[in-house]
Amino acid sequence: MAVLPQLIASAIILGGIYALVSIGLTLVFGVMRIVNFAHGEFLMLAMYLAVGLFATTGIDPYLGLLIAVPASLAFGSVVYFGVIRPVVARPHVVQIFTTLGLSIVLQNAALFLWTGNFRQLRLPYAEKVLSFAGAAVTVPQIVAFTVAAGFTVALFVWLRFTYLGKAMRATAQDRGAATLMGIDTGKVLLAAFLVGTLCVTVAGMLMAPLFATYPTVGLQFVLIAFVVVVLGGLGSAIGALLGGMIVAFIDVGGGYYVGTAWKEALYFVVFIAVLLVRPAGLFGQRGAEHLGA
Amino acid sequence: MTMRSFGWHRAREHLAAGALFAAALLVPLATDNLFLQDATIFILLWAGLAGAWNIAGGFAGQLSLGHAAFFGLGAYTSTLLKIHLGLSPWLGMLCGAGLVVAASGFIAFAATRLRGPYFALVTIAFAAVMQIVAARWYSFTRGNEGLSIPFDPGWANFMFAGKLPWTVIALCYVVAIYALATWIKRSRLGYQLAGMREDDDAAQALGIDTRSLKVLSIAISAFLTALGGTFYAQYVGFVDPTYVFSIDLSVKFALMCIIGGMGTALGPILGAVLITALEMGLRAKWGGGRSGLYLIVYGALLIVVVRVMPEGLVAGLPQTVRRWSARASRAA
Amino acid sequence: MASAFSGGRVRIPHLAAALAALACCASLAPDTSAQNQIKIGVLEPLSGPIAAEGRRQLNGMEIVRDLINERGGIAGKQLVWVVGDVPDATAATNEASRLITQEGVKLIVGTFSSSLCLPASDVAARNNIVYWEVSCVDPRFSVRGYKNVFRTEIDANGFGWYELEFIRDALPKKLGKELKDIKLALLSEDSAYGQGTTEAARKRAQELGIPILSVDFYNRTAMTDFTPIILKLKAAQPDVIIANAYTNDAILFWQQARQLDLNVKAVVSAGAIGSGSPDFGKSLGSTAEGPFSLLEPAGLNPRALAKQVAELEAEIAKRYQARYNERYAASAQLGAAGLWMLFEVLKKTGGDLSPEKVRAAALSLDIPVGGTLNGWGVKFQDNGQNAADRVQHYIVQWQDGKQVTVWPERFAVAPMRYVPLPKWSERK
Repeated sequence: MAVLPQLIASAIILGGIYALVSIGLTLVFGVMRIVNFAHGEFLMLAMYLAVGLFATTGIDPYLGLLIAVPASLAFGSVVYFGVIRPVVARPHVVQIFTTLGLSIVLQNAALFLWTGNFRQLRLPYAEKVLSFAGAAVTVPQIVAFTVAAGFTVALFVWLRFTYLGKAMRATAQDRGAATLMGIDTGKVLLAAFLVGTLCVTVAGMLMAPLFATYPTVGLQFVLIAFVVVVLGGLGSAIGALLGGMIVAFIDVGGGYYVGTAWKEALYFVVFIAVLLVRPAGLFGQRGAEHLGA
Repeated sequence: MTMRSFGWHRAREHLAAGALFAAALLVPLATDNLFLQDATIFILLWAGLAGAWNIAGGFAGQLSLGHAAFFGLGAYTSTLLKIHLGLSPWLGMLCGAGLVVAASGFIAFAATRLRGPYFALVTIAFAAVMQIVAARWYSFTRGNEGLSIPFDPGWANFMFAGKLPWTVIALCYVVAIYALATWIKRSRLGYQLAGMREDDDAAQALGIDTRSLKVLSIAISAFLTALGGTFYAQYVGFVDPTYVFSIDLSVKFALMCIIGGMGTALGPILGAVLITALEMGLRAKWGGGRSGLYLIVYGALLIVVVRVMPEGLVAGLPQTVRRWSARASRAA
Repeated sequence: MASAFSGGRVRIPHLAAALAALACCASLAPDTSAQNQIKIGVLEPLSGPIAAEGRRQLNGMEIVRDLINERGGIAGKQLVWVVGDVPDATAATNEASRLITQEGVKLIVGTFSSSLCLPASDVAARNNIVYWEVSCVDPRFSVRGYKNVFRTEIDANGFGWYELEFIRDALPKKLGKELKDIKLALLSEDSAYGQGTTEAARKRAQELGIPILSVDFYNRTAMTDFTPIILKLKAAQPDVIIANAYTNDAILFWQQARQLDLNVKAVVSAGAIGSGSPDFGKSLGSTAEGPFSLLEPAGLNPRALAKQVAELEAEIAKRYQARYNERYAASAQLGAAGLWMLFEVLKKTGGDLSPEKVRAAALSLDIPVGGTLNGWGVKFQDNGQNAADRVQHYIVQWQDGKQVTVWPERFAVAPMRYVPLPKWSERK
């Protein structure tokens, strides 16, 4: 098997996964200007949902999305009204520590309820390895990538062409001005948070067959998600997809050509460089880091 | 607020601080309780570190979540110098602090270009890179195995058998930072910092050199943090990248300062006392039972306190009390 | 916009709150244990990233403690303990102090990992409390000159050494190759555990003249895709991979090895994590068949054990399965064996926990291999370390969804299978 096709295929699939995880974060960060440090934990909970659903009822994560979607909206609403909304107008420091506290609570709730054991969802029909253009891929990987790409496009279309989507973009640009224009920013913020939660829940369900599930699995992905979001630009769905691809290519390419020991240093350095040189990222609005609430 | 009431409040603050310092000193002198002595030393250390963070975060408004980078760099520098060159940790501490000031230039540069959560993210990434370097450079730092400092008591070795010397040193550390914070608050520097933190653009418009202020405040803060890092390394006798560069530590420094009251001299000390006591108390009560329970409580408290009293307990409690009693009297 | 910064006013109520908090800590008066009890302290990481294994270790110790107490305790007294959660080094220091001072324990058992066992034992040693380590493998543990610090398990150097010992002893015959023709690749996660074990393995491989094709370290939290490494390994074509992984990465690696069709003749790992963890088999089912793990024994050939030990092993395994609904394995076994050895020592001291008596009793123990739990022996050296040749280690293999002991042959409960490992395309 040739090396390059496999590397490219793996990078693309990983990029899709990173994008899917990050889309939710970019929406929340972009529209609400809140750094949700508990984002990784939302992912973790979704993975546990997939594992639990499969273990108790045999429903696989793809069918289980029918359950996960309403569950995520319910969960998102509870978190939003209980934890997030009271701090939306507060200083950054309060928001940061609120989501950090939430992260601690969720991580340890998972530890308390389900122990620290590592669980892996195994789909019997997904054991098959398929060959595609000289690369080996599995069904869960293809599904994850396809859904990621689809979601990105859907979100992009939604943000661009629907009223709520445009309202979100306006709120992301300048919340004060948006209110003055008659936009109910309260509803917009709620919608942004719910959509964000929905996206990361879908990501978790799709990732459960690919990665082990354990209470601190969120840590594996949350820092990457931040790198992707910053790279791609706040609030931009296409940015999340491209940012995810770039990070994945650095990850896989760096792992192959440079070595695995230093590859995270690579994308942190990229992260810092982007923040210093062009904080708006690829598709974010220039100067966004100075505007907003 | 009149000038007179300002003075009265200041005196009370100093009295309170003095009382806490005296209590801390009494512990190793008047009691044999090892746990209490150990807790006191840690509380003093965290109080100093929170106070150090306060200078950048509280006074200058630069909310860093990567101060563990300075802490860890200080800890590793003095430890490596001791292990490889036999250098006294006192000197090593100064070397580490000097190195950290140089490194802080990078963070200061970031501060001049980024605000709010963006700045916080850069600081997190900075500490993460430090952690990776320390963890991968096995030949120099023994990687994730960490470095162990042999127990060899003596003043030159910055190592003591009894708790009294540790307590005294930690106390000097806290008192010095407290004095510095008090001085800054009342000085021209303090007013300029306050202006910058409240509204950066307006301050610049008034002619305040915010760039230099950021560099200065972050450098001082980093310097003091590094000193604390060396103290930690010497006291616990063990440094490893996963802990000394961890985001948990960075968050802790900020948290103690915020809970106690940012921008005050006494706030970080109060915050350190409360958070450490809370942590130790929760862990003692529930740590041995079902996993994670005490951390759930801790996280929940964090969410509640930070929302209800964002100004910290130093000022927030009376406001909350006043609000509730006003509500109660209205309802009556 | 509301400012988050106060005007710097201090109120008496907060001061009172702060002092009350302090007083709260102080007023926890030291607890005096009852006369008919022996009270010790136990430190384990029960929260944080290694909580799963810390919990299993504690579970194993609990089973043994209950057994001891049922059979009359130690010198007629019941063994009781206080548990402290130690997720990091600071907690290790704090909790050790707390157990000694507030709970009044005279002996501490712990603690699973290097970053914890070093600071915790420092505190104990300097306060004249006996420290009994059952599992951390840091080589620096026993070189500090302490007289009341003991470790029942060997160190990481020993682990790496044993991995090669297995390869040297068992594989050349089975593979039909000479040792110097067996190509080795090392792949390891980079925590203290992985680093120590892998470096020791590398050294020994060099001593034995085994060609080393590559050594790769990675961070298990950052590892989301093994494709680059697997592709490199496919090109290099090692015969044996030493894969010292943690659990989530071991699972991912093995899955991707299957996906990318990486075929090697044997995979060896060390420790109660990675392919040695029960979670590995639970997660991967039939795919998990084949890897070797250097581990505490999964079943011991009873003929290799002293008779009462064989019965004890069976009883403990049964109770563990019943109480915790999972197999008695790995970390639990380390905890159980370590505690049992302490029991042997305390029987000799009549329940006396003073450092001098404990040390004398410990150093006087001389139990041959097969004479205590895990099929180990006991012979503490002057530095408190159990002799490496008494701490027998085993190679365990996943067969039919279970872990079974396959080496050394004298202890094995089943013959080795899958050497060489069948190609992925040939596996079911």
